[in-house]
Formats: sequence, structure tokens, C-alpha cells
Amino acid sequence: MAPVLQLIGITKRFPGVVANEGIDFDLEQGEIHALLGENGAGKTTLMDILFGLLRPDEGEIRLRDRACHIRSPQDALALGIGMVHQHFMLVPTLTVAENIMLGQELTRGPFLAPAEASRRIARVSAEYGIEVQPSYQVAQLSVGEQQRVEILKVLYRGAEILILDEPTAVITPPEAEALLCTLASMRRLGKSVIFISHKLKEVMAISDRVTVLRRGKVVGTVRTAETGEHQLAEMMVGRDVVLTVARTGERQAPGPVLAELRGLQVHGDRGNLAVKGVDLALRAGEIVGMAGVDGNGQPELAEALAGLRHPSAGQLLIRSEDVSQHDPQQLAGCGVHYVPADRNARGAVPSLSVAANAVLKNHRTPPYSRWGILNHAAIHGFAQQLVESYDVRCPSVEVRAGSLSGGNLQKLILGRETTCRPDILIVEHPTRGLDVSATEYVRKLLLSQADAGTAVLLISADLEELLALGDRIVVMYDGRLVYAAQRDAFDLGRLGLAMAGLSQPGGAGCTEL
Amino acid sequence: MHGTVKGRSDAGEGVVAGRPTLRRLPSVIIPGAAVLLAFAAGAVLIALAGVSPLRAYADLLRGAFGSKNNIAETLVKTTPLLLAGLGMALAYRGRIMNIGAQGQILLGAVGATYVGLYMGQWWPPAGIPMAILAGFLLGALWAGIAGVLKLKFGASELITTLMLNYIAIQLVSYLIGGPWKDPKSVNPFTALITPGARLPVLVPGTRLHAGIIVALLATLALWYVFRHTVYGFQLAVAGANVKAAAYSGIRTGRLILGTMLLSGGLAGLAGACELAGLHYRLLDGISATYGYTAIAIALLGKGRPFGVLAAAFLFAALTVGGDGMQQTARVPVQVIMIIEGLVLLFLLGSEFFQARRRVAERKAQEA
Repeated sequence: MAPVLQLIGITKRFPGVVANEGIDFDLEQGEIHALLGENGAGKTTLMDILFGLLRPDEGEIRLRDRACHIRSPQDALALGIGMVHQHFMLVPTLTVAENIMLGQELTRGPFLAPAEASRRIARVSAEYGIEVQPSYQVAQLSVGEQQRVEILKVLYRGAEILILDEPTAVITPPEAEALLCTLASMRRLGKSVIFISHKLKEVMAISDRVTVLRRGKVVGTVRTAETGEHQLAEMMVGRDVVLTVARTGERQAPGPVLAELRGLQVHGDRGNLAVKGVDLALRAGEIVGMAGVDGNGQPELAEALAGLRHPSAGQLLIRSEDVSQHDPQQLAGCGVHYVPADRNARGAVPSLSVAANAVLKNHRTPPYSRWGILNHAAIHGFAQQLVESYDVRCPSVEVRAGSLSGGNLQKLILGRETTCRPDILIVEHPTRGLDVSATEYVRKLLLSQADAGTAVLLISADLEELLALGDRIVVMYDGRLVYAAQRDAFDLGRLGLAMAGLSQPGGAGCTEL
Repeated sequence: MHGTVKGRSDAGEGVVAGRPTLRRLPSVIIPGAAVLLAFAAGAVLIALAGVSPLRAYADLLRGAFGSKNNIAETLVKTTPLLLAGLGMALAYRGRIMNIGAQGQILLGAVGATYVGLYMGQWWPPAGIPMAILAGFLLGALWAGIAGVLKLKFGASELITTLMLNYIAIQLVSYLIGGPWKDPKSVNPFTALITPGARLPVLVPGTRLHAGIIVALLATLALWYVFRHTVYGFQLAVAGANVKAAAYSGIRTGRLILGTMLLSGGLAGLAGACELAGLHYRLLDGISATYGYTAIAIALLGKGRPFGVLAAAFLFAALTVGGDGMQQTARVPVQVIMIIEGLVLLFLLGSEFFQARRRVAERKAQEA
């Protein structure tokens, strides 16, 4: 029998990157097919193409052996393809039933028929073993329950093919287990499921086949029964790492400890404990590379270091002084500088000028201001100098920062944070979304910072980057450091396993899962 | 090292280079176009009422600027609109939704009244400054309540400032009907304030008082604050991106509270000037609808001090000229209110199209 769905030679280019390159993928009837890969491997782009959110530059989508053009999510739904996003698209003030029937309201004459809709919802939910209370308001539901509503919504609309984008990333372990049961019953009822994940354990537990993507290409498709976690981890991480900029062999021994985290615990936005006790020392002249899949507590850790979140337990010491309760201004005074992951939402103010962004932090101090009055000449001069010495390409420092390309904006931010020779530099995903030359520039800059004696904490999901720059690599998983190794001593397979939550005994600070 | 990508990024910058002028133009052209469109639509309404729009608009102009007295009246109306509009523009710059100018104006008037009734005799030369200061302080206090509620409990200032308006109205009613009531009159208003606390008339024979000078000075001051002070810079950063503000070490709580106080203080000045320059006594409805019009004026002026000045002047001229138009051309004054409303509608409409164009541009860049 022909596969339900075939993707043939899908290519999608964005400026500066090829997100998908000649991807072939097929899905059988009644199959759970896992799509595995690191962040930025191209999984989400591929699924967005399938769901009609993006158009491929090349390639063909065949559904039950017929070529089809999917131009919008409506087209996809009409063809029986449904997607459950990581960020749910529910109306919080409406009930579960109302959300499910939204857009496909059952009516009797001009009136809604809520009772009939509830019956149909109950039938579908019983069929798949998805427990929901149709009369509850969505705002009252937990994240896992909301996800069940999303899945039900897709099934209610008669989807034959379901795409689940990292469904377990946001829910609790028991909810994840229930989800896997639901997936199994979908398979039993002949639905086909594409399951995006980077958690090897789940992929092994539930899928029939696995396709691994790396840097926009298919590494391979394997039957789950014929593979193992080790092989998948290796496929995902890859061995053909190209090191363009790298730590050279001779490097001075790291200097004194500048910052120390002792049993640091930090709460996240949703009140969850995001960092569950981290011990880490940052030394002068050393780059610590922190690997880990997004959402394992790295942003919260970085924010705590920058003073944007206060730790709920543990200590943050800078030169042996406890600075856990300092605010960002005080921490900057201690020599801590931070390059956040989100350039546009936090690192810079896109609607203000390049010059304003250049002095975002030091506008309070002379010569940029005195007695509360700005010195525009000094600000302009500083911005000009920053733009020149960090090779920020912009027509003038008076243009909006938002008009700069991602790479130039990142150079501006990095310039701002490093020009004052920080003692401690925290960089989060510094090259995400940048083109090759900007990436190279940023990496060289980080190396030169470390050579000048700065303690650098590099948080990245890009293993290539971490391997190229890090003197020491630590892996964060579920709020803890689960693996640590010196630059010459790490084992790629174990690193991949640790990132996927399968650390083995022997790693530093290992935790049982 | 920039090898292959250089060409692409240079091309991108070429597009950007033209932007400063392109971006500056809409700040004048778009509100201007909104005003013209509103007048065009108003012309249709006037024609439907059986009057020549040209004649009606000529009367409107004459009503607003036709004589020394008419010009004076336009400036008298400009004063409270400008001061309260500046207050709203200040909050708007930090994306703080102060819509309580109405109440803050009333409290400003209460402050000036208190000085004029009970403190003016202390030291006559200080009467005027004290009345103005009291207006500023009480306006600031009133907005400050909403600021504290926002910081302590996360209460939406949109709601609290609006609710405080009603409290202020009742407070004034209570004062003029009770403790501050003029003993010599049966009407609900206070006695006249002491002459030493009254703002001088600038042009004899008209009602133009020194409040306009206060308003113009405030415009200049606010322009300076926005352009040249650390506070103005931080407010712009926080207004554009509150996460970036926190990241850059700006203490946003203090900033928000301070801005609320200043914003309310400016609206309070409007009330103080109305009281000490025009009415000389506290009475019901002293803030008219200035508090709500001020929000519209801040929007129309795009939150810029001189933009607010132009918008306040325009709305004052419309109001004063509209009275003239009603008397001579027999066009109902409601047409003017419709035009005022249309100006805002067209303005907000243009925001929609601008936003859509920006999205389209971004998409074009990404594709």
C-alpha cells in the first residue's frame, strides 16, 4: 500500500540559511513516525510547510499518491492534516466544548446546538481515551489538559494525519505518559501521527519509525525496533562537525574563580522550579559551554545571573560576595554583562535608534549623561566608535535598530556588552539565526574576550558552537547539570544522551531520571 | 571574512538608508491627512444640511480667528487642552494608560481653590505660584494613587484612573455643596478666590490669561525632558520594550510611578489654570470634557510635545469656531463634534494601514 503522505525533495531557504534541503519523508497509514533533531535542524519548518504555514521553494507533497498544494492551514485541515502546536491556540474565556467546535459550530437553525456538540465531543474523547470536561473553561485547565483539548479539536475535525510539535516539552511526566497512550490508541484507530521530539526515550517508546534531521537534511530513517538510543543520539549530534573558528591548542590555564553558583534554584514564569540546584564556577579566561535542549532551565539560569530573576534558594557569589539579591544595575556594576537570546525583545529596542541602543546600559554615567541630562555628542561619538570597531553595518547611528539585519544587531549588542571589558559575560544563543560571516565574527569575539581574561558562560543549543569554543562543556537537563567534561575529554554519544535526558552514571552531578 | 554575504547585507542596508526621511514624514503627513479627510467628510454633512460647506468653513475660520477676541478665546480653550494633553502624552510615551485626566484636572482645580480661598492672604506675591503648585501637586497625587495601585497590586491603570474620575467629580460636588460652599449664594459653588491668586489677563478686554504661558512653558519643558534627559530616555525605552528596560537596569517601578505623578501633575496644572485664570471659583463641570479630549489630543499629536500643541490648538479652534459657525451659518455645532470624532477615526485607521504596510515590508524582506 502506498504511504498516506509523501514529502519529496522539499527545500526551503531563508535569507542566509537553508532550513530544509531536499527532504524526503513518508508516513504510512496507522504509523507513528518520529521526527528527531536538535533545535534548528529544520523539523518545525518542515511541518509548517506540511501544514500550509510556509511554502516550499522546491519539492512536492503527495497525499494518498496525489500531488497537492497546501497554501494555508485551512487547506491542510480540509485534506485531513491537523497540527498541535507547542503554543496552544485556544480561547481561554470559552469552554472546552466551545473551543473545540469553534469554526465548525453545530447549529440548529440559527442557534448553536451545544448539547449535540457536547455529545459528539464525548464520543470522540471516549474513542481515543482523551479525558476532558467539555463544560470547563479553558483558562482553568492545566497545560496538559489544554493540550488534550487541542488534540481533541484536531480529531473532532476529522484529521487523519496529526502533527504534534514537541508535545511533551510543556507538560508534566504523568501527562506525557497519558499522551503516549492516546497516541497508541490513535494508531490503533488507523490515524497517522508525526511526532516531533528530541527526547529519545519517548521516541523509542512510542514510534514505529524515526527520521533524523540535522542542519536541514535527512540523516536517515530507521525502524525503531532496529535501532537504539545511542545510534539515534549519534545521528542527531553528528560526527562531521566543521570547526571554522575554534579554541587553539595552547591556552593558558583558567584564572581565579570570578563567579560561583552554589545550589542555585530559580523559579520560572509559571511558578515552576526551572533551575533545581546548580553548582557551577566561572573562571577568568575560561569559556564554559552550556548545552541543552531549550526549556530545561537555561534562560532562567541566565536571567538569575543577570539579576532579572532572584534565586529562590542557593547562592550566587561574585568574587566571594553574595549577590543573589542584586538587581540588574547592581550586577552590571559587579562586572556581569549579559547578551540575551532574544535580540529584539530584550537585548535591544528595535524602535529606537542605534545610538540609543548603544547606550542602553551606560546612559546613566558620564560622559553620556550628567545630572540627569544626556550628552548627545558623547552618545553619538560612542555609538559611532562602537559601530566602527565591531563592524556593525548601518547607514548611520540614527537609524532604527530594528532596521539592522540580525547579525548587525547582534554585533551591536555584543559590542555594547564587551567594550567595557566585562569580568563575566553570559551569552545566550549568540549566533542563532545569523549568517555564516556574522556567526564567525561573534565566535571570534567570544574567544578574544576569554583570552583577555573574561569568564564566559556560553549557553547554546548548537553543539558545533559549544565544541568549538568551550573549554568545558556542561549539559543542562530538567533544571540540573547532568554532564560535565573538559574540552579534550568529552564523549559525543554521552553528551547527546545527556541532552536527551538519558544521562548515565559517572557524569558529574548526574541525576537518576 | 564577509565574502559571499556582503552583497546581500549591503543591499539590505540600501533599503534602510532611505528610512529616516520616510519615517519622519508620516508624523506630519498622516495626522494632517486625517484632519483634511475629516473636513472633507464634514463638508458632505454640511451640504446635506443645506448649507454651502465653503461658507460654513469660512464662518468656522472667522469664528476661531476673526477678531482679537476670537483669537483670545481660541487660546483660552487651548490652555487646558494643551496642559492635560501633555500629561497624557507623557504617560503615552511610557505606554502607561492614564485616561484619568478628567479627575486630575478637577483635583488641580481643587488645589488652586484651596490656596485661593484659604492661603492666598498669607503672602500675596506667592499667591499665583502657590495656586499653580497646589494644582500640580493634587493632580499628581490623584494619578499617583493609580500608580501605587499598579505597582503594589498590579491593578490596571486604565481602570483605576477612569474610576478615580468619578470619585473626583463627587468630591468636587461635595466641596461646593458643603464645606467650601459660598455662604453668600444659594448656588453650589465656592466664593471667588482672592485676587492675589488669580492669573493676570494678558490682553485687556479679552479673557486670555497667563495660563497659556504656563502651557507653552510646559510644552517646551516636556520637549526638553523627552529629548535631553536620562528620564526621558528611560521612559522611551520602557515604553518601547519593558523587558529591554528591565534588562538594561532601568528601575521600571520607580519610572512608572514618577511618570504617573508627572502626568497627573500636568493635568492638574490644566485645572489650576482654568480655576485661577478663568472661573476664579470652583464649580460643577469646571473641567468640561477637557480630560477626555486631552487623550485624543495626545494621540493626534503622536505623543510629541509640539504635536500636542498643534492638536490642542486645532481642537480649540474647532470648538470656538464651531460656535461661530452655528451662529452665522446655522450649521449645528454637532457637526464640529462629528469632525473631531472623524479626525480621530481617520487617524486610528491610518495606524492600521501603517501597521499592515510594516508587516508586508517585513514579509517582503524575509521572503
